[in-house]
Amino acid sequence: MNSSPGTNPLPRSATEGATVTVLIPTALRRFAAQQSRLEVRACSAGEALREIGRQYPQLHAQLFAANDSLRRFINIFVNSRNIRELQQEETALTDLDTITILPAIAGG
Amino acid sequence: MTSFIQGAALGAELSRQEIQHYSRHLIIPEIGIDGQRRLKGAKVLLVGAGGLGSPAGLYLAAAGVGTIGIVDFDTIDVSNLQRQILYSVADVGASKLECAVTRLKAMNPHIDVVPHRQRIDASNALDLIAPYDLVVDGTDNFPTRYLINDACVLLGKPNVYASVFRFEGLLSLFNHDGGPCYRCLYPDPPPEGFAPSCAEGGVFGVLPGILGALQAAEAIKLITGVGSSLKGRLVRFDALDMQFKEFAISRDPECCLCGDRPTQHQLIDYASFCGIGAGAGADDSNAPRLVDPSQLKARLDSKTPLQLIDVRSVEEFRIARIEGARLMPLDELESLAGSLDPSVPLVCYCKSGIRSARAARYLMSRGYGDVSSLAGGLVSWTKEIEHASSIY
Repeated sequence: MNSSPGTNPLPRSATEGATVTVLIPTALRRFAAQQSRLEVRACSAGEALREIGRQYPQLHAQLFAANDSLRRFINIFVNSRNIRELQQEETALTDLDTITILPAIAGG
Repeated sequence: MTSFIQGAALGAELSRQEIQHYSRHLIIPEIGIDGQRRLKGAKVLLVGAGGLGSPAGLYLAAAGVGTIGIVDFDTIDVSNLQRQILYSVADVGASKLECAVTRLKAMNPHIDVVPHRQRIDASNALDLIAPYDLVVDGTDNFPTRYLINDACVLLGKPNVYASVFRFEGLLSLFNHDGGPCYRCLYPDPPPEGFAPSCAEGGVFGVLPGILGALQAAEAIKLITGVGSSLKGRLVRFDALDMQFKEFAISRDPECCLCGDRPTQHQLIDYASFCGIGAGAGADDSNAPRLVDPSQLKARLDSKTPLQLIDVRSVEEFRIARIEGARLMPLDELESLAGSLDPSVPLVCYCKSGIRSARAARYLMSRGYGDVSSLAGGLVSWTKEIEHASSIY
């Protein structure tokens, strides 16, 4: 069910930027064809998230509010660091970075 | 090094029986007699005696935490037994609180287990939590998560947090020693319906077992002051990949509760904060019409044209369904709705009536005029009409 890294075609227009892996949490996989990880090419965290949102518009609507800001019940980490404590969406990426999306869950 | 929790007392000297009981702790240099007496003197409040609370409670009791308060109001359902290891088949229908207290006291007669049979809410949370040294949050919904966080911040109590969804769990320690609170991490709750509950989305039974045991470990470390605490660290466990990952988190200076200039100084209305019931009021003109099971049965029997739409998941559809229904999972409704005939009335149903109300609302927004939702869902249908169907 889960695809391996690199199985998603890269957008042809993205000739610059880093190749990074975006980990999709269980709660959001239903909006991304059940994939658990996506590989994209992007210069910044925001660009990477918008690229996966372009591929999966329903996912975009989950990540971004109507005013186009990231939703506050979702945390985005580049490797182990929260982009809120880096440069938010402008946080620069380098090859092999991993972006983890962590929405709030409440089960117990 | 983990700092001791404030206010925790060193318990009385250990009896001969206690020394035998805790011998495997006493011979660990990091715990020893002093650590065990700290456990004996500690007061921990366990909120929720379910999937997380079962293993957390068992290990806190086994470890000798001197006073364990338990808050729960629920009764035991057979579907709890797949993960709530405090209970057995003979307990079905009984009070979780009573069974949990009996089980923990049987496990360790040297501790006090204090029952609090009530639903924690903004009117009682501060009084419930105040006498305890720390809270272990084993609840299962966003309003209570925020309520516990806020009460812990206002009272200055550490909050040992875990939550689970299917195969994933999150774990951290909030509001301890200058670290972040839950609101620093998640300032706003997700909209209602975003993150299905365990009842709606399912949970891998052993997952809360792992996370609840980790909560107990963290609480015991805090009480005894050993090791490195989870302050400022968020741990994500993925049981499918069998991977733990750690993320750095920190106090948000802008946090409305624990920031540099807090704007919230008391508890609030958490249901409305989390949007529970939003738009479902009596004046809600967008509310879908409800049809009860007997009305639906009559309409189906009369063979008048009707599109019966099951908006649950394919897995739920395979367990039980109403004959003649078409499967259109709520998440896929947007892409599948085009195949519906706008000239034929629609009835949506799910397990309990919540998802189908959302589906009906969505279809109405797309211009379908005659849309209704089965009140009480398949559960009511099974009770009132088709007794042979499985309730899951």
